[in-house]
Amino acid sequence: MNTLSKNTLRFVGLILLTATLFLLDIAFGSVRLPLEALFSDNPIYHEIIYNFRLPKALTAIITGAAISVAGLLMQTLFRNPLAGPYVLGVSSGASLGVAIYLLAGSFLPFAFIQSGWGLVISAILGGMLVLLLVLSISFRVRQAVSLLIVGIMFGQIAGSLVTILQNSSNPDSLKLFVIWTFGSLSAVSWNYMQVMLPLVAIGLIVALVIQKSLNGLLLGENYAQGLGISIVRTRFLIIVAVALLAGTTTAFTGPIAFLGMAVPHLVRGLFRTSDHHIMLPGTMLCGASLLLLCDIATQLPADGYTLPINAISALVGAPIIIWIILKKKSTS
Amino acid sequence: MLQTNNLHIGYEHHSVQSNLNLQANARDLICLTGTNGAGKSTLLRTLAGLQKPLKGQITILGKSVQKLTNYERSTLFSLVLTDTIDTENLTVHDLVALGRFPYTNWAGNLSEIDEAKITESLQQVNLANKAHNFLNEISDGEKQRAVIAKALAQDTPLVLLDEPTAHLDLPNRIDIMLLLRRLSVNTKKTFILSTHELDLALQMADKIWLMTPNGVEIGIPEDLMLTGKFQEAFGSQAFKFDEEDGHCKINHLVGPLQVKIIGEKPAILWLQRALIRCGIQVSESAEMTIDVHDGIFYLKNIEAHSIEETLKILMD
Repeated sequence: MNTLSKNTLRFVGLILLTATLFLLDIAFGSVRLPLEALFSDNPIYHEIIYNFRLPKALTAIITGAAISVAGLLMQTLFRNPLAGPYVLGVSSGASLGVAIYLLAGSFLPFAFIQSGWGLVISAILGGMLVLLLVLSISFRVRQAVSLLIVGIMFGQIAGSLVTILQNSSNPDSLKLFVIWTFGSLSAVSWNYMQVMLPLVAIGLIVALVIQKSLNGLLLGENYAQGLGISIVRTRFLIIVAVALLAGTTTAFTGPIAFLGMAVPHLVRGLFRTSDHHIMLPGTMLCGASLLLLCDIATQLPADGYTLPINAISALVGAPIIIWIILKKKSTS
Repeated sequence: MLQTNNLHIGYEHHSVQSNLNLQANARDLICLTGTNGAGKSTLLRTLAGLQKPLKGQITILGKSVQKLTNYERSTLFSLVLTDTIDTENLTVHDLVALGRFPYTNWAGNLSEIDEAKITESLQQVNLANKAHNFLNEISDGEKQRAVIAKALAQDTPLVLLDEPTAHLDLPNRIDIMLLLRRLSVNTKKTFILSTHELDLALQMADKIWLMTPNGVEIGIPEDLMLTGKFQEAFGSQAFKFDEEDGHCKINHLVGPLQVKIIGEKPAILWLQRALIRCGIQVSESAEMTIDVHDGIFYLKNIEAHSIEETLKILMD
């Protein structure tokens, strides 16, 4: 009972933290707004807040939660603390799609390139292609670790193809591509949100539905089978969920480095548990608030200049991982 | 209860054992033993459904194992494997709770019945006081007992254990074997375990499945000893099983030196062991005599105060 109430307290704390950061993220931006702007009728303020900052903050919440849960799923599936949302090659596949589209797609009508949907669709197609390949192989291999290696290899192949494309493309489209790899939360308008939110929501629901099997997988695949878990089906559902979570968000925002790997460790440390009943909601909240924090940090230079989110998330995420490894050394 | 008919086990291109007809009854503690590579783990994995048999039937309570669903199988067999469980932040209670997996709802919430079962299982392995410790805070022996408690909580008529005493020190090995012996009597479950602990298996098992490259010998330990099956399976130039107490004895290299020993027990017994270990023959007809009394060893007109000193004098 005692641990239950302690956890409730932690959850309340996390929710309050997320809410505060959400408001702060809306309040701070490249244009300084007075606090009363939040409630004013001024059409310029209205435009900035409702059509720019609000969707951006929501995107931070959705993306932060999605890639962190994807990271948790991968760590549970592979029983490897260094697995992250992109280990199966999702982001490499997505960047290959984007690279093909931007760098080799000069034959496409200009209006299509301008619309932005082209970028999203090519990223989704690229990510899906890699995941389908990994998925088809997942039915053939016994050991999860072989699947991990296959995922990493597909990622490498996609990365090489991207390099080849970059090498033979013009500077303008190269710049567009590099900007995409920086990641951006502000690219998600209300229109995109209508597609991104439901896809991510389905991914989160799949993760919640299989939470019992995820707990069984903590003991390894043999014990899990002994408990009556179908390994092939659980693996399939995990990959589908990761495709929806990491694939969708990468398509809309670009890759967000290290966060998805770091957040589950933070939550494990915070709640002192591996139970997915607690890990899943904890990871969602922690991932959301951490990406909000990163987004606030990108605004620090202020006055019309922002830092790339992918760089900030790595600056935040990588030290967390180092800290976790050092902490583990000292306790064991 | 469990029966195999004409069972062939192995891997795609490599048959390990064929034509196995085995049987296990309720309350049985069965030790599966044999040399490395004879197929102990393969048989256990096949019985557990982790691996498909090449041919033949396994039936449990009259039902064919191959036709069971994952769920049905998980209510009939529980497993204790050699796989390491190194999950962070997992408490003993949470590990045992996973044994209730087949009986909980979709979210895995524990009912009062589940909690009662968990407590009962922890008590059965004497680990109730460690329920809220993390797995990395307890000893290897306790960890193994926790995994056994998980298997008990799964509430299956059959428990399969793959080398449950490996990596444990002697007191813990005996502790685990005694625990399994007690559980098989108290819970009426069938325990099938693979082990390399011949001495322990011979003293504890109701039945031995002795796996040799030429097939499986089945019987109670004493019959297998008496008919020399153990000697056949394990015996070599290097050692043999003592016909009187069943312990294995190493055949030491023997040198030309012979001595006769007389005197008090137990000193002469340990002296004899030391002599044999060093390749010195003990013989009634030997010329040299070692006389032991009051803890002093007399030989070659010298007094030695320990077996070590005695050996040194002999070797000179």
